[in-house]
Amino acid sequence: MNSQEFRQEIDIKRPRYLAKYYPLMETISNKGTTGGGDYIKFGPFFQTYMYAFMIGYHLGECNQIAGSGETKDFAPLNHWKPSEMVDYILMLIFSESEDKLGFSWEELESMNDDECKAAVSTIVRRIEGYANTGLNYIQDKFNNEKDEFRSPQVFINFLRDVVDDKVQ
Amino acid sequence: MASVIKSIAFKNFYNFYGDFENNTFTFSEGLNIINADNGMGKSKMYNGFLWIIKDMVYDSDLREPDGVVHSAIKIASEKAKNTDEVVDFGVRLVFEDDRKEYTITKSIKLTKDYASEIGWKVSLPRTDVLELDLLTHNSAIVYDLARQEEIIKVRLLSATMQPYSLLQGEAIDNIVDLTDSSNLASTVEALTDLSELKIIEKTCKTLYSGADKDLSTKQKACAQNKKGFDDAQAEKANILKQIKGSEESIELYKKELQQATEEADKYKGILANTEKRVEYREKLIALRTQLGKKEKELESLLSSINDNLFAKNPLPWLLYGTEGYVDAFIEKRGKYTEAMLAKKVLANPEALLASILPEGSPDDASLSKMLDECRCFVCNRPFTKDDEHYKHVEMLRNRSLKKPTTDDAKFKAFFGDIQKAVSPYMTVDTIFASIANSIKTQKAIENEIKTIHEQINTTLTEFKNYGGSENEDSGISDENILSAYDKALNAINLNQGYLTSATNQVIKLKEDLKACDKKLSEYGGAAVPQSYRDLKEIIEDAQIAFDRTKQRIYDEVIATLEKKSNEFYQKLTAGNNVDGGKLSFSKTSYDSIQLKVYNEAGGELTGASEGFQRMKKIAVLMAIISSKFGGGKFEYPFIADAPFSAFGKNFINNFFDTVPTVFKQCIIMIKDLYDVNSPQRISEDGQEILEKMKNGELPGTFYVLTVPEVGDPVNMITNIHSYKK
Amino acid sequence: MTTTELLKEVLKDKIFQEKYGIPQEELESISFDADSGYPVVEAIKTIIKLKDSSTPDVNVYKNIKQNIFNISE
Repeated sequence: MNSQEFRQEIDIKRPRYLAKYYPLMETISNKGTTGGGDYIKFGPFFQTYMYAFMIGYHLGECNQIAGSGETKDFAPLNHWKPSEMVDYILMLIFSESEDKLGFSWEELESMNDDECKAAVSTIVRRIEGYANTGLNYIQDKFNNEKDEFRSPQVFINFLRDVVDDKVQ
Repeated sequence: MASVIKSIAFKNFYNFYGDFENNTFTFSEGLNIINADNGMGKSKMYNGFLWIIKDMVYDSDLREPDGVVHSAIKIASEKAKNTDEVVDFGVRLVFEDDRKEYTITKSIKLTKDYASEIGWKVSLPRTDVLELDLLTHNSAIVYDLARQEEIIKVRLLSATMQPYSLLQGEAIDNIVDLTDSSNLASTVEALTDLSELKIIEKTCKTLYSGADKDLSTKQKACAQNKKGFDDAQAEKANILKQIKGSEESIELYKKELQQATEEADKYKGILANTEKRVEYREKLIALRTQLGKKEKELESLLSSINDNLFAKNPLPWLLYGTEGYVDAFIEKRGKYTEAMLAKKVLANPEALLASILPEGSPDDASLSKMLDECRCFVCNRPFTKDDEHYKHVEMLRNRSLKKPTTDDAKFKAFFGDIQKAVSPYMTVDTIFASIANSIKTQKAIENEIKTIHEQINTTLTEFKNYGGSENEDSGISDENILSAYDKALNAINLNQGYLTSATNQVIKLKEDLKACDKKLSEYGGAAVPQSYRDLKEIIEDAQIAFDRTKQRIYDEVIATLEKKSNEFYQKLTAGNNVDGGKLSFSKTSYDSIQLKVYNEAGGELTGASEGFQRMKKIAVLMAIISSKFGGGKFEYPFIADAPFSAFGKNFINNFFDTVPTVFKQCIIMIKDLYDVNSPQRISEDGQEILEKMKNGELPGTFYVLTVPEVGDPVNMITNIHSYKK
Repeated sequence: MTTTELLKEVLKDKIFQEKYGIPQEELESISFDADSGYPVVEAIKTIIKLKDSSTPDVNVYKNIKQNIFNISE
């Protein structure tokens, strides 16, 4: 498998999330429509997902969802916009240490096609894990500080909270 | 009989949370000041007095009075409503006259009712009156409703005098309506007891009629020429009928004339302010347009915040806090590249070495030249193209070009593409400034919006002060005012003409009547006893004397009113740069009193500023009270939620110097002695007054109302500070 | 105002001096206590007094007619 094939293998993947977060995803995304409602919204689901991923990544916890319950997915990675953000997420995952990833870049070179596919799955599982952590964080906020979601600054504020806590 | 209010107390009444004991103000004769900034309970306190005296409160949202039951939910303390399911609220006033002390308590109960639209059940208002004899100290509850009414509406504050004793900032225009000349006239009459003379005037008409009838009967009995007498009498009856008809017409014309004059005055006043209204209206439009733009700007900014999370330009905010991440990736990629190269070398070292030429060998350029010239530069011997020497040189040249690469790394392109995509995000430190800038811009726009709102409120107040109405349908537009004014002027001319004509008619008819009476007298002859003639003549003269006395007293009161009004007016406006003019009271042809203002040259002064208009009203108010025929201080308390905002410092000082000379007791709620920067919250002027009170120069009390600085508006309560009791 | 005050005010009218020739000092000393001797003054006193006690107009007339002018019914 070469670079192109490897990338294609990644691009067709549809990262999942736990179904219990569907109502939240729906509330704070507007699935391609704009405006309306009491709460501040993101755009499409993948934006919400990428946001959740960043939250989870800053929190430093990758809680993989395998065996945690029913899951849902949406669009494949190559449909996510902006594509640069997808690259950034992949960059973050590939930057992780060998014990987190389970393989080194060099080992990747000598993998056969099946092993490469397994590595791709690992990558996607880790993306899901961070997004899961992020969604849990946002859900918690929604349950306990719902009024925050009326402020236009809400998602910036959450991001700043997790980043600033990390610095401390 | 004078009444003096001893205290007023509130229970869960607007910002006055808690029981009566917690919210009590005690008063004395003289000047009683309650000093507070806007929103601290000043006008609410005034509403307490209004409830006791008139069962009403002034609704500042509607800008008009409202019944207490209708306003009950607004009146009850917010804190009490949030705390309890049953809320009792009310006002308690204690006053005394010469012999008795009265405690009047008015209250309403609210009971929580989740099923109702307003959330509460409102009870009927309750009035409790307790009477205490100051001599015997016996007290009794007053159950009789008529007696309760009498205590409140006569003993505490006479209903006739209410308009002159209760002065409220925003409603001052309704008090002493100087455009209503009959209103002023009837008040003057009340003060001068002219009602007695009016009764006598009516009596004299009856007496005259009786004397005339008796004389006529006697004359008829004595008349020789009965037919002539009857004819003359019929003629007289006809003349009397015509006189009556003309007098009725005169009354009608007077009314019409009065109405037309008041209309004309009203429009004249409005016309004078038209320019100002136009100016403020345009200003409002401009401000609202500006507000709309700012609100759109804010909306646009807020709705773009989430977009900024993913915006490519300048940098997506989602990458806040990701400094160094790209560097880490590049470093790892570098290590990966080195590792792959090392691996390659270890796997095939000769390929690497084979690619390197021995030291001293010709370089690539020389080798290429050798091939071009087909000559070896080392041994200086020629060779031909494609012979074995040519091919050797060619091999040497090609070997150096073929460098060992790491193209065998399968995923080099994969990682390279990722790096290329994320390299714009190497420096993300500008994101913080970008976010901060956005928040700063948001705050700036919000502040601008707040400022514009305040400007709109101020402009709207001024606009309304000049007679402006936002609802163009309800009032007459400025374009129609002129034609309405012209119409009123025409009506004045017309009715004046009719009045003159009817008056002349009556004069003529009365002369005819005299001639007729003479005729009847002649028909009656000397046989008619003189006593009958004397009776009629004397009653006629009595009628004249009473009528002229009424006029004289009326004229004297008007003259006194004018003199005192001007004295008060000068005192109240002393120290102002602008001349407020001189007040002139005159009786009109329709038996009412008209007030005009003249400048020094004798020209009429119209369109005076709002400040001077109010001073004029207060001056007339004080003159009316102190012009009471017989003199003396006004015996009812003067209660004012003082409208000083348009006035200068001079007026306030003048007011406090002048008003206590007219009223035995003044209770003034004022914000202009409030200074938020002073520890006691009292301005310099306020301190001066307080000092005078403390050293006995000025009898009275001084209170300051405050609310906690950082307060939840729902639970806001007013704190009472007494500086002089 | 009181009846005495009203009487004093009415007697200030010029008709009493000009038409009836009553001197000013005499006018000033007139009261309800004693007869002034002037029918016009007595008529005025009667009107003021009786209207103060809300006597009907017809009775006021009768009073003046009978007591001052000796005209019986």
